[in-house]
Amino acid sequence: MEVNASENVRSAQPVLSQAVLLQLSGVTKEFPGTRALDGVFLQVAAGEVLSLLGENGAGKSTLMKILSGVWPAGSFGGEIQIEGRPVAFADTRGAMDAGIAMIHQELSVFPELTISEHLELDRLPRIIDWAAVHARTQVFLDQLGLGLRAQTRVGDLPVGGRQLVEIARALYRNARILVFDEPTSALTDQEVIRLYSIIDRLRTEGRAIIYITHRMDEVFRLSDRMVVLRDGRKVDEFSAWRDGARISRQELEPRIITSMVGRAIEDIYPPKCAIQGEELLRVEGLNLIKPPSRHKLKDVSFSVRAGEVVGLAGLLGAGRSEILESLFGVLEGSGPRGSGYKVTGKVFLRGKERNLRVPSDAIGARMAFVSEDRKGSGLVLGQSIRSNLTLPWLAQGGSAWSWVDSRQETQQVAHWVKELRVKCASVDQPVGQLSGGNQQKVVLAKWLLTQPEILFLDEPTRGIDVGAKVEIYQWIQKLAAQGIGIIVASSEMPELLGLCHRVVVLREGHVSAQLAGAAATQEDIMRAASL
Amino acid sequence: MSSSATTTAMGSPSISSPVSSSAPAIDWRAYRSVIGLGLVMLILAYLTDWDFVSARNLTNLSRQVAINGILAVGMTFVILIGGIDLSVGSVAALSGVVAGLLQVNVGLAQWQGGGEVGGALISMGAAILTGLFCGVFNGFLITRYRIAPFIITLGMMVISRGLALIVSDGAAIAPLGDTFNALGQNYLPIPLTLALVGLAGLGFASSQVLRKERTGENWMNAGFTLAVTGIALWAFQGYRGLPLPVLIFALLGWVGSLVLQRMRLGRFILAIGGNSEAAWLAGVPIRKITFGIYVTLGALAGLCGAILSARLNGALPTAGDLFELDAIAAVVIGGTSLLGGIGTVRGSILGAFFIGALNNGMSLMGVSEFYQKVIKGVIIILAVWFDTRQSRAPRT
Repeated sequence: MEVNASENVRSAQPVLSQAVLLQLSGVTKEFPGTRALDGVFLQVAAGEVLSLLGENGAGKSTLMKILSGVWPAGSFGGEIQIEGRPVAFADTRGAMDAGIAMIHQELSVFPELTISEHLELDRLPRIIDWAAVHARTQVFLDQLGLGLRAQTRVGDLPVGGRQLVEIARALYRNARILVFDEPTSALTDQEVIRLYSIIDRLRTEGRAIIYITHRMDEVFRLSDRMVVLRDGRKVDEFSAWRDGARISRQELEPRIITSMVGRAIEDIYPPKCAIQGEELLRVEGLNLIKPPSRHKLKDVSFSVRAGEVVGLAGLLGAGRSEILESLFGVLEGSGPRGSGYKVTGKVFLRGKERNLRVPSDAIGARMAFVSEDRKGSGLVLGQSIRSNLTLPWLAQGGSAWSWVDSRQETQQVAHWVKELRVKCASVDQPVGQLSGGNQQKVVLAKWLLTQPEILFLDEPTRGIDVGAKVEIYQWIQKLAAQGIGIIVASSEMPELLGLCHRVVVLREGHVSAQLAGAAATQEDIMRAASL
Repeated sequence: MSSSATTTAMGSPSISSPVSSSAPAIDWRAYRSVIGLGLVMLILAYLTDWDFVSARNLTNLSRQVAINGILAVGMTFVILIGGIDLSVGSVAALSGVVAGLLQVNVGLAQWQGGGEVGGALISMGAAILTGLFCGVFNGFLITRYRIAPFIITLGMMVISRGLALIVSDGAAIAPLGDTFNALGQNYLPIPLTLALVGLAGLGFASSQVLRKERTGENWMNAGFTLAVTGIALWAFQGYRGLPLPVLIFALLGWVGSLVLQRMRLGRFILAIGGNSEAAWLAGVPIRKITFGIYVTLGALAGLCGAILSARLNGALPTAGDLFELDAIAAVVIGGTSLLGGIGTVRGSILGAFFIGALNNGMSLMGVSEFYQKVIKGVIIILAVWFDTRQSRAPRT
């Protein structure tokens, strides 16, 4: 999809209306012990898409919280102007009334309410004439032309639909400045394409758009200007246009990445090592059935050799995560999520058939699983780095009734925190306070501590910044070089091609192709994934 | 959330060696429950013209706290994994009634074959087994069928209360045998008490100081331990010695603390409460541990039933009313999160003393029982409110 998207037609000219709609100047925000923003100056013109770039922790979220009134006027230094007039927001309501709307990364809609209730949420009178509300919201939705029905329960919509509701809500309030915070992270490909066309439309309507993302494809597809934040400062600004034409991605991307990371990254994918040969894992005829008869996986077979990096590709819902979860025993009935799934098929480790029922079986067989959802299943966010790091190691290494050897634990934790360069104040700090990239390093470290032979990585770089991404890529190759067999499931095709010796492509729960990583292209994967 | 992540990530890039060994300054917030308890006791002492802190009353206080304390220790683990158990009070009553029936109706109080001691032990064992069985029922339904613990244990609360009334025919069962009653009424002789409490206090204090990293906090802890030991020694030797229920409570509290802080099991329990999915993925046997925790609390409730009826010299089917709420209040006052994942056994023990001190002090002052309830409720809410406010304040 990301391939097609950049080739999509768009209004060919930059919108040059120079009317500055929003201006932030000298914005400074301090937290105890740190300066999250330091004198940031930012302008957005009507009819412009501004991409806000930066690593995790660069200050993007803080800036947007100031803009949307989460941090009220007075809690930060500097000034916000809309159309040249200074404004001060006491709360989020104030920002909304001034025409600023946030489209959040985690969609903040209420699943039990209908679309019309969402639109009218903050303006319902004390006594409500529902028929009139439905009628007027439906008129509005029809004008919008997104195909939304006023009385649909929002929880019944797919994720992309819910996001449309958020956009509709912003427009219903006649917001003129829209902030999109990683809007595509949960969308399907069609939904992404639809979102792009909506953003193009908002742009031609003369609204100002601030777009936050980690995905470079989107940056080059959408933006007119890019602003890079690093360590709370604005470090660079790039225009996407030169002499009425877009500057090529090849020219711009290296400069942007260098600016974000603060150093040049010659090649974000380190060289692949040689496969060492011996087969570690073979899967034959893996099925995942959700009773009564829905096949989530159908007859999946593949193998992984020592030192090999195998990719799992496929569209959303094709079964990438499900393969890893089935093999690791996550879906077994006695787990917190479990029940209802049935897994069949044969698993061979070093040629010997094994029955891995629950995660502890898999861990006992020297397997490790960096799951997709770091907050949901990767980490205990409220607990310390130390406790998180050693959990699988402790669960694996002895009886529950045995003592924790705190000396050995401290050594191990210190070793791995240093090895993976986890940035933290202390290992007793709650892991939830770390940035996404550092959290992901903790997840990786906690599994490396168990000395796995087979490592599953599900979306290992989702939502983390370029610097941490590169470190994770380097680790993947380093571990492969040590003879570990690695499976990477990812929705980012360049990542799979850059990392893997071989890519297994899935379509609707079965293997539709196995491609050699060296020769394959994104088009090959797309073709195999979508027919 | 994301803002705090931002802060931290930005705040610490300069720290290249993340595992700093420099001792942090003493965090007084860790002691707020100790200090709070001390203040409440001082106020009560003042209001009761120092009757409250007499050796006799402190001994009685400790014995009154023991039952709720034992339940609170078990309840801590249930709440730490994100559960709740409302059945402990009724289960204690049922277990007490079972012990009473064995003592009186079966005649174990004057058992010729095994002697009084054998009879008493069998009665206590039966009480514990009864509680354990109720815990098995709770634990099985909660882990196997994933029904909310609130509902299951609410059902168990009503069921066991009903069973207690059925088997006792609604009447008190008394009198029980003297040997059995010793469990609730007797004291460890004073010399033995002095030796035991003194050694335990010294042992704890030195283990707190002899840690590898000798921080101010460790010295503080040791100081508190010694102060508490001193008060206990003074109170117990000034009256009749260490009450047996308090001995049991102290042992269970110690074991509970060790499990939670030093054993792998403790880590697993905290992980289950913090994020059960992550714990499961890391290979923690969630189901087994959850089941075991409910069974343990059931058995502890059975033990409390035996102690209670021994203290009263009679088993009442209506005993143990609202024990579950006192235990939960103690745990929450002690700083354990009702959402699970955060908390300590030590906190719950302090919480139990806090509630016990309120009950005891107000009775001494002659406050009517009706008013006592209102005041107790208000103070519990205030204590927890204060605690949550404190923990929300940013740490610098």
